[in-house]
Amino acid sequence: MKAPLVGGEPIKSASIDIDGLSVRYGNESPVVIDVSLHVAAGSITALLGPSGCGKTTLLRSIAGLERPESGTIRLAGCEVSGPRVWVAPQQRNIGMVFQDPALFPHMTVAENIGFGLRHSSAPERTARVHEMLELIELEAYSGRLPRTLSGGQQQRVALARSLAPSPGVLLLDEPFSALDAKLRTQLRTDVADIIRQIGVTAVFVTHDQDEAFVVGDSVGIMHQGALRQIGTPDEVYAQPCDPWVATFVGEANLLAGNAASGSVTTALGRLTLRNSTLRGDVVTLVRPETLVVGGGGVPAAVGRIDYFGQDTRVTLHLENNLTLIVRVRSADGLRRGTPTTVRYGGGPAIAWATDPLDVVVQ
Amino acid sequence: MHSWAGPRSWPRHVVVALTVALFLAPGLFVVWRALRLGASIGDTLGELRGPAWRSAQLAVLVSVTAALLGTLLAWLITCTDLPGRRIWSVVLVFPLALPSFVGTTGVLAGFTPGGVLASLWELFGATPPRRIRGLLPAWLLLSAFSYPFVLLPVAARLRTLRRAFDDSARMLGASSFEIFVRITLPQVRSAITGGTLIVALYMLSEFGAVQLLGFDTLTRVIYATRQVDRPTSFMAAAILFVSSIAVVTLVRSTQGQVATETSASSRAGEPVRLGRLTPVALIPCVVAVAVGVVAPLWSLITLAQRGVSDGRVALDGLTDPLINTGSMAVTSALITLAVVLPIAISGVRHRDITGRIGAIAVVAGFALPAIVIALAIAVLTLNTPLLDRLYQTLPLLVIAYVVHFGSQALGCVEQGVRSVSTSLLDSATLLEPSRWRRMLHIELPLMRHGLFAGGGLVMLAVIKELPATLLLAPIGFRTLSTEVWASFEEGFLADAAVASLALLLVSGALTWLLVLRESPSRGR
Repeated sequence: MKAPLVGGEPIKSASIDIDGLSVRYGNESPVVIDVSLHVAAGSITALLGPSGCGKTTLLRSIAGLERPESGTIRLAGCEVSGPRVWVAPQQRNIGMVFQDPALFPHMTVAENIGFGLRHSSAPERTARVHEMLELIELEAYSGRLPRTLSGGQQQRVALARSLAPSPGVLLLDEPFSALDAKLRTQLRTDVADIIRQIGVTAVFVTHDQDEAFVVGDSVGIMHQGALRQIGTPDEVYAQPCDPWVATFVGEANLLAGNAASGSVTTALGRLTLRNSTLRGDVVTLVRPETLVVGGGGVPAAVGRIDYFGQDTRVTLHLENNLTLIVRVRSADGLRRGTPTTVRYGGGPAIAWATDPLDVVVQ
Repeated sequence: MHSWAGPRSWPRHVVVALTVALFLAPGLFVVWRALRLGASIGDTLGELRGPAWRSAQLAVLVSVTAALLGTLLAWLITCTDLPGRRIWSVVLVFPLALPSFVGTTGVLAGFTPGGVLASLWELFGATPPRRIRGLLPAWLLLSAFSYPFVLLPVAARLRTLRRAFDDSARMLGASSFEIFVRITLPQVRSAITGGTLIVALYMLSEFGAVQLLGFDTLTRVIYATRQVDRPTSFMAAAILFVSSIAVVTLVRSTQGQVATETSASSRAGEPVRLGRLTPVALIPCVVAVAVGVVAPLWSLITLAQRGVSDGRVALDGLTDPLINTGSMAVTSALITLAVVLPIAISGVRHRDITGRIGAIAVVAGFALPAIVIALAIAVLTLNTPLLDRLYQTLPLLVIAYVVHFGSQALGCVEQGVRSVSTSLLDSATLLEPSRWRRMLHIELPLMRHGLFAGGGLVMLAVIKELPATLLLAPIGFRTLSTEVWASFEEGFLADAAVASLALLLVSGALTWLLVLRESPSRGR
């Protein structure tokens, strides 16, 4: 990693406050519905959701590339979008990286990076461009045209271009999704390092749960235009707000059960509940890695065994046609079709009152 | 790469060689004749200094004007919230269907005493110009007729530019104006230069309009001296040939070095809000349509109406020219396709030197002004034993069309050939041993879109062609374009107007099918 920026103006990262934001295209139904969100200055927030959930529209609204129907957006406390306020995107001091690097094809790498530095003198601009090239470790490429660069290099140049004018906020719209898997993993680590090093407030959109959890200080889950939950990766994974979020952010066994006085009775027996006030029919979340195989408990038959190297995913068939997914360190001693046992080995469980329309419960 | 040059590849080389000879013959003959002038080369060149200067003036002035106007209009109809831009994007392309000599005929007829344009002038209390001649009217009219050659490619490029570029630039603080100058313009520059050079080429070979406007360019010299002073005529043709080749070489060199990325998925961005500038933006649109479309059409329609209503014009006189024009267009299109197809196949599938030379020869045929081709072919056949019997026969006229318009078809035909993949050819070979049956049942049906488009462009060009038809058509063989020409020359304005409108109807329908339908305007 390079030393922190020297010479360039220090980035004054800005907080983002969104209140009751709704966005609609034409007369269609809204794509972003009543979203409120606080992003602390200097933090990295991931917006995670399936395609079409409105996350990109939310990001473009922060940038000013879409006009919201209602609600307000404040950057560093100043309103930039609201019922009576509209600040043009070029005046919001926001940098943005798109899924497609969109480097200007007729300009060299250095010219691309220097594009946003229109108020700097020529020597200042040269110095800043050089600094950014160093940051992305592409000093040798400054005179090249974008099309001679690989996809990963192009995306790094796009990052440098958006950071060069020292924006208060950096927005990234699925910046790695056009790259192949291996490169994506490498690049996202590099980009996260650069963003943290500079200390700019960053919001990035992704549909990849790993990416959101690895890069984001906090993760916002979006579904059908609404922000379902926001929290640290750990909170979102361990305490999802509803069954949909639970299955979206990771593998989940959802067990039907009956809750009473702080515990729930399920096919796996009685589990202690985190929410002791819950009563009646509930859905209980059991993550695959919280299950223990072969150590007593309920009888089960071993089904598929999928090896993943670091762990193994085992499908267990219980009575009543119930199927459980289990993650174990090693599947030694387990063979397909043989009987075994399974029990819950985690802490207090999460459960939600059953909404018959919401999820398919096993 | 799999090569389709099997043991039977020699016929292909022979066919292509013959085609190349056909396309190069007129140009080489012109240069050879000009060089044989010997000692008088200097004198002849001296005499031609004036016309050459006027040709150059016209080419430069009109192409620059067309470039500015075409680019501005393209930007207005694709990137802004100009009121009625869907209608504008159709109306502004219309001059493409209007041969410049027909448009000029319309305007000139309108300014004759009693004509609608003269009356309009008087309505505003001005004396209508008595003589419309020389550089200024030629510049104005030809610019108004030729800007679509810039507008179309530029508008097409603007539509495919990715919105992401605009968004990125905007997020980096650029204003709309700055985005246009620094991001958009550099990416459409090649489309602008390409279109501009095409206009320059057309202006070098322009004949009908400059003849009507009495502006003495090289083409006019060729027409005037072709029978009485062959040396002058050939020297003028040679100068035109050389300058046209230079322009075409420039055109080719601007293509392929394009540093743009385009994607089909780009959608039109938020249009630029013109706001208070809307009336100003409407001025160039209105002026272009007024001069290039309304003035000639209004004048022609009024004249035709008057002529038909007072019985001076018999519509059945148009039957022969219509049939002749149609049959020549269809015949030339079919023969052109047959001639160009082997070259397209060579260029696309074999990618060998034969294919490349073939393509260059076809483009050279396009570079030759029609009047130069006609002159060369006429003199060449007259002076060659056996061939002289072909002089003033239809086959000779068709040959001239094929040589001149082959390149119009080549691009589309190449596209058609490309649409048949090599893997498909391979599986066809395994299933159907007969080369001809493969061609008939598999390749031609798959290429049909390209072939139709290429044939259509040739038909359109033949319908609008004037000078080669004037020089080479058999005596008494009347087409719509010669009918317009002859009637106007003899002062039968109403007949000229009716023939013009018939021509416009045919070429307008073809243009709509080939150009406008292919590039639908994207309204929001």
